[in-house]
Amino acid sequence: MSTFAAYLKKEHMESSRQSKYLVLGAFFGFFALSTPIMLRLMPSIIESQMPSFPKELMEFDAVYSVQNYIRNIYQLGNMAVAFVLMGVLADERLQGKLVYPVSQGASMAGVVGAKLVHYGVAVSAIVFASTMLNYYYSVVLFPGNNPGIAAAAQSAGLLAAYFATRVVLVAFASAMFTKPLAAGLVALVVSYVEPIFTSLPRWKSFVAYSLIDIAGNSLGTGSGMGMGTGMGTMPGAGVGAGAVGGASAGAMMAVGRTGNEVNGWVLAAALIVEVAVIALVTVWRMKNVEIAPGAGGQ
Amino acid sequence: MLNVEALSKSYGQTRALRDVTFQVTAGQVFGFLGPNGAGKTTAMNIIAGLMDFDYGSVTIDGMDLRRNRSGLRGVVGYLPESPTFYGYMTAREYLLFIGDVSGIAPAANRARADELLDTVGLAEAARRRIGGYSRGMKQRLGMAAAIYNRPRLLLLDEPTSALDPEGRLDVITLIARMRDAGMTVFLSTHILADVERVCDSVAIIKDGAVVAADSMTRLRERYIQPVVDVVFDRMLESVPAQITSAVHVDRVTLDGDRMSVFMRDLEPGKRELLHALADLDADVASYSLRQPSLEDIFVRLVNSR
Repeated sequence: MSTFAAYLKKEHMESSRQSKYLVLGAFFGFFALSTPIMLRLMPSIIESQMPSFPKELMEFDAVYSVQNYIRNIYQLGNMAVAFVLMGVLADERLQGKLVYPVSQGASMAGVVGAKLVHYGVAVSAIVFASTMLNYYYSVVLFPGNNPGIAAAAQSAGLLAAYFATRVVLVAFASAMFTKPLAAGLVALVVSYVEPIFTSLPRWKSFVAYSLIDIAGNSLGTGSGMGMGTGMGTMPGAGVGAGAVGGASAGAMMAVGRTGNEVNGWVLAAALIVEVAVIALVTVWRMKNVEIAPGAGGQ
Repeated sequence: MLNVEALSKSYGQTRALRDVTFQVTAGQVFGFLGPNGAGKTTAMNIIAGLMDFDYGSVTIDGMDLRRNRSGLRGVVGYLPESPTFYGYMTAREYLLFIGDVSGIAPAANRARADELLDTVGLAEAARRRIGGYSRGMKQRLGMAAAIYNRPRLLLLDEPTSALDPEGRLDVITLIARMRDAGMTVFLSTHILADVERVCDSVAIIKDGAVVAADSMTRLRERYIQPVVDVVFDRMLESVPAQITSAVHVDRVTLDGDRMSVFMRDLEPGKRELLHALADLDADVASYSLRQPSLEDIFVRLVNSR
């Protein structure tokens, strides 16, 4: 327990002094603010470029705006979490920083547990706050068809839970790979490939990406232009402001075919088990890997 | 205190340690010597519980290392050769963190941190971030962290290599003080003068194998080759044949008027040498038996096998 408490304090100090909170907060906050603003400006931009473009396709509402943010932040937020946290365990052992604590009797379960809890809570809180910020600005900029604060909070909670699972995934990759960049890239690939499984009816209740799907759907039906990568159960959600598309466009389309028939209880139980198993394997790996300076990976 | 038996470790095809065996008695300062790449740091990492090994056994205070990792909490302190810290912390914060990990109560933790910062001469820099420390300052902080929870066995890997002469003397004095306080110190260093100054026993390792392990006194008796230095009152052109052919003389070097005679066996060699010198057509200005050093043993053992 002393290791867990000591590392919890240390991780908080590290995140504050190395501006990790600031980077993640600024990243998610920027997109939370810029998505509705860009959406609000988009009709004027398109009208100036294409005067004949039908105006009815450019009538957005708050629901569409929040759904748009959820989709964007799935793509970009995964990158932010992977690249900010990729060295969370790899750096510690690569640079020999665990030598003193471990030789003084630190428990590896305490080290890993503190990191998972700290970053899980920190990232979830940032995601939740930024989603609520996005909801607020969406409602301010797009009066009418308000999803309601309860639905927005539910979506924000689901999004936060999704990113908590990403923290565990990145930490696991960071324990498995000696190079932090390799850990970050592997975690990112897994996160981008995962939505494909939601197109398989038997799998969708076991995949964390379903949280993103439910988070969008629970807001209701939004109105906006459906271009290209629309999500089937989120009509109207399209390429909005700042959307990256690209790598995960296929995955998003796969989600569009899944509908909203995920069993919430099964999904919650499955994710708790998955997170627990990944965390235990991470602890096991860190207990068995050589942590002496220069020992490298096994 | 520490019993290492047939310890072996390989990295792929390279055998870093080969059946390493030695014992360290409680309350001793034990010197661990060897050239670069001999396997010293690997052995220390294993003893510190940071690295696994292929076979053999390590027993610390009667507890098998493999079976009692958690039981050895607080028994072993380790200062690696290049200690790494969290650069964003101050020295005091880092020591408090180590105390927290060790489960020391907050008030005692603060007192211990301040005491050790003073002991290693970092009290004035205690509130500066470690990222801005020199290598010597990091070495001092490493020493403080290694002894933080008063370990019974302290492993020091090249603790003085980054220090100036004054700092080296401070560390050696600190090591002697820790021994006096009952701590067992396992010291790896290239600086043989430090070993001579503070160590009670020594193991010399070469190519992953121990070539000698004994007390300093017995090592001197067993391994130091006696040397007699003879100075003549004039320059010699070559080493006299009477001396090179003496049965108990191993080899002879000549530098102007000074001749160094390396003996195989000191007592009969001295008598033989005196007879040979008496027969020479040169007057002897001085004759002295050289005080042997650990460096002589080290060079001889490392180069001879």
